[in-house]
Amino acid sequence: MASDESLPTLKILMIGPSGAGKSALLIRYCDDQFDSESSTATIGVDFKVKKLSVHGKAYRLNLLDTAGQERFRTLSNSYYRGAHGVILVYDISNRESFLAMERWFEEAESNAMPGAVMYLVGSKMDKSSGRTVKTEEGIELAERHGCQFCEVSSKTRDNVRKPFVEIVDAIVKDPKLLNASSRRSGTVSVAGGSSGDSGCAC
Amino acid sequence: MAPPAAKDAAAHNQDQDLTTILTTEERVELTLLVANITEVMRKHIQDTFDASLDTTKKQQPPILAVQDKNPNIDESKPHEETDDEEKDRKIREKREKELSAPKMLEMKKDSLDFFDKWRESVISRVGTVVNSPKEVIEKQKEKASTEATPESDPNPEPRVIRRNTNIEEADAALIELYPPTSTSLYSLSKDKRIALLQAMLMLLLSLEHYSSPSRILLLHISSSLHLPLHILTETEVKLAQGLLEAAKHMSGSEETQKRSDENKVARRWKVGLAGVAGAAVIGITGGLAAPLVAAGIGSVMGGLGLGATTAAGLLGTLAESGVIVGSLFGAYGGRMTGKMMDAYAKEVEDFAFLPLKGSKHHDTKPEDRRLRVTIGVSGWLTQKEDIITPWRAMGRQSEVFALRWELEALTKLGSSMESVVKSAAWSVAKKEIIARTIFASLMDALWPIALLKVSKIVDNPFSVAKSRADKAGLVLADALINKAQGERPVTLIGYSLGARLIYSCLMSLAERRAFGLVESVVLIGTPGPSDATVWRAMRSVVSGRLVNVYSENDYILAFLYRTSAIQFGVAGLQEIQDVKGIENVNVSEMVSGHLRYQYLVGGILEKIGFEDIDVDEVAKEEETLALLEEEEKNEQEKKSGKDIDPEKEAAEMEKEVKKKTDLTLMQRATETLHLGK
Repeated sequence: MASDESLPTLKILMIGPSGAGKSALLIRYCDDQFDSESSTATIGVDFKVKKLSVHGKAYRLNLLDTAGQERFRTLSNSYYRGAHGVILVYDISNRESFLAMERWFEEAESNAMPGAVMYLVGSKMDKSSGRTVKTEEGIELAERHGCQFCEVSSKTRDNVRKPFVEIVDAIVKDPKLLNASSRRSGTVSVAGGSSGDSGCAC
Repeated sequence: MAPPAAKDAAAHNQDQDLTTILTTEERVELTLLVANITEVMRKHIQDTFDASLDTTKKQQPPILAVQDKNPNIDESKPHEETDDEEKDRKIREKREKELSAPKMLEMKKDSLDFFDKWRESVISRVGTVVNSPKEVIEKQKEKASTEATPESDPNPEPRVIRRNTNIEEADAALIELYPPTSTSLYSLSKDKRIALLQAMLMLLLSLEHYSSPSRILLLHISSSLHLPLHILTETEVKLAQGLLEAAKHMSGSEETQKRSDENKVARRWKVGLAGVAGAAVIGITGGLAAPLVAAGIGSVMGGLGLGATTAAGLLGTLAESGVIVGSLFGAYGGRMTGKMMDAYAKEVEDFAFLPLKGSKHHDTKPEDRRLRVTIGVSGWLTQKEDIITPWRAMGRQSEVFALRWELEALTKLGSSMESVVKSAAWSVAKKEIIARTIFASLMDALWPIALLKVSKIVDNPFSVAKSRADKAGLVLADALINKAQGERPVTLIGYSLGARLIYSCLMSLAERRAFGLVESVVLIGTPGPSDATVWRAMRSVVSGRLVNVYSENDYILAFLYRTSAIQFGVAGLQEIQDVKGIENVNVSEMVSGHLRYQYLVGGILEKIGFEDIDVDEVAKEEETLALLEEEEKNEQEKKSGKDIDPEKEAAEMEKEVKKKTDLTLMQRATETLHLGK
């Protein structure tokens, strides 16, 4: 435990519409568990810590699994602060979740600190029969936002590590992002706060 | 609940969940409640730095059902709104200028930054607890059985809270200051709400510090759940005792503890410096290193409404480590203070925290430990007990200390002030001053000649003590930053130069960006500026209430302060304007002069609905004051007949002051010899 504290810490958010499979992906990645029965919606934000080595260097990942449900929107300005990366998740068998991605990108871009790395993930790859979003579409969307993309299946473990490894890789390539995080976050949170006011008033 | 589960929880998963108490929907509500409240708190911080004038507009979330509590609490808010627009604009422009100064912007940014960090840690902690990995049905069953067990004792006898505390005033103040955020959790049964509040307290403690925003969050939650304040404070008291009790049991060696206790007393009397005193007096020294297990803590905290496992789970690492408990209570603070102290030691001669409770022989026992700390700072002394007596009115829900600082300088000041006030010159002058307003006198420097003749008696002691107060304030700031008080929120209360000391302390904290240490502050009759810039800075380091108590009739303060920077106003004489979140309390009708404050501390605190005031002590205070007033009147009458030459009188007074000062100091020296070494 104690040695973990000294590792460089990266904060990564997982966002996306309710039911996209964010928690499933996270639990598969962190605990290697999958429960097809369980489908409880996340409340607020769940929080997990995972150690990960990229290119022989270890990092401590603070993974924030956010709730997709609309009613938790008020929380969003409290967790974006200082996030190095954002993983956006949609469900390939649910076209609506894909169409909503544009809005999620918008939220992430306006709340996260400038230069934070985005990563698009299409989940539930195993449901090939029910697929309603083509892989090409995902790739195209990711390119439009200048981020990487992959499809995963938490059920079959396919590609589960990939998004985490690649996003960390992208984050650590940008030393500015790593060092600037504490400095920049202040500015970001101020901006986030003013947008949050209107949200609170309702 | 079951022992095996407890073991499991301690070993692997500290994040035992709230599901034992709450359904999914209720957990959602709880999360949202926390989110909404923290948003409101954040807004308050922004407001401090906000230039728009209307101090009162909107932003308070709808009040759900306050009516049953107190129907008339809302009255005090809507004022100031009728200001003339033209004037508004000008003031706003000026303020905008002030606020856009880089220094202010930076302070705003830093203070929000601190808050956001805290909020993030709270929200992710709540999230972890609320989203338990193992799910629902099993827990639901467990929940049922939890509720059935007799162990949960939801209506504990309030044994720590005495009947004579000002419960009602404090509750009214709670709702006014922390208006309820609407939440459906309100409709839960009272037992459940209490358990929920307790759970939140433990959850916040599991962050390993009880910082002042955490306390404010709990106050908000209390108010939103429509629970009276004393439930929170009772839980705090019990939890403090539970934690220490458990920590003590686990550490085994009672002898070590005892010895360190003995050591503590001896050392304090030998050395008056903060380095040692800070560590020894506030802290519980060493010997707490062994780990706790869930079962241990649960057995101690059986009185709380939560099961042992849940409690241990919520407390997280706190339930496992005596070291962390120790640092929470300030066992390891003070170390650095000693070092920092060197820098000031030459100038600040005397600085120590004296515990008020459990005190006959000045020893703080574990049962007197609390999760909060209150420090009272006296302004001048006429007898040595004055360091402590004004703070007797503070109740038992927080650990109360009196700050002993600069005994000599304060005694001198006290004696001279007393003499001047009793002098014939003063009574003549007083009549003259009343004819004008005291503020005009201050600004025009039009003081009666007779008064100026005797002024030399007080002027020097005052300016000496004032500069000492400024320096001692820095030392106090240092002690707080270095956690002499542990990871606990601190409330500071001071009158006269004691308030000046606190002012200097807060300014230093603001400069050093030490947010989240101070919970509430009450400054009474402050010989300090009333300038908005200054108070804004102070506001930024105070999470809870910041109260300025002033009297327009305080001639003595005006007179003493006349040689200082009066262009920035005098906080002890007037309202603080243009800063949101500062409570101005006018006590003009209670306070005829500066020397009254000493006997009015309790009364004033009671009046403003401060938490946990002992009404009996306040009554005693009032008696003393009445006696004093009579005595003074007699004296006045005796003198008023004669026509005394002010020069002569001054000389006489000087002698008298010296005599009195010497006497008090002698007494103290004898006592020190007697007690120490």
